[in-house]
Amino acid sequence: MIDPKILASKAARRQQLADLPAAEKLRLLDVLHDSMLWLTQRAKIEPARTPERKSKPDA
Amino acid sequence: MSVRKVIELTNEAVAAGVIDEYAIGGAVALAFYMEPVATLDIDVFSRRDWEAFREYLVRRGGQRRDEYVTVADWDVQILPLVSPLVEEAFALAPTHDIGGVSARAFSLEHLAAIALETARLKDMTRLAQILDSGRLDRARFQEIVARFDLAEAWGEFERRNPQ
Repeated sequence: MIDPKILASKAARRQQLADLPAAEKLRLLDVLHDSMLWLTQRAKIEPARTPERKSKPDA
Repeated sequence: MSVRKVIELTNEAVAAGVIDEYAIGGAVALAFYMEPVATLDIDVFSRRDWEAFREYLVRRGGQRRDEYVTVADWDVQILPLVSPLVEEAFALAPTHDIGGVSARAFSLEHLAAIALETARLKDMTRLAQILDSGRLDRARFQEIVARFDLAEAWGEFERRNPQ
């Protein structure tokens, strides 16, 4: 059983992210996307698209 | 490397008359209502002129990759309106402001109903996330569910996921 305080804390953080302006949330989406691309390329699921992606995500 | 760039190019495609309108669906659309969740592609729905839109994006620097056009490092999937529910989601898609740039995206209630209709495992996860967000207009969602004959699927989802 997870401590209700932990659940409430997690929910509050998610709420804070949800409340950000749309432009800021799209910027965060770019960061997540960049990390996913880096992971897929590192796992050799797909080739690197640009030379800089051979190392690590910008974020 | 920005979803905003994809949206700007899509707005330009509308202004240039390449497509008459568009709406964003999927995980990118969800970000307008909830916390952002990771995704590899952006779903852009259009009523028609899908190939002309793909060619436009290629002319603007995009690259074709299988069913996608990769623009600004994002895989753009250009999709038709595959069901009456998606047609309504498209017609009623609200416009959002992203710092001076407009973006049409499916409403949260339509995204939830589409997840219920599509019903892959990831759609069920998405539906659970939407419900958990507390952002869903339940009355509007229920009305859509009833109108598009999804009541049975919704009942099954509720039975499996008691809240």
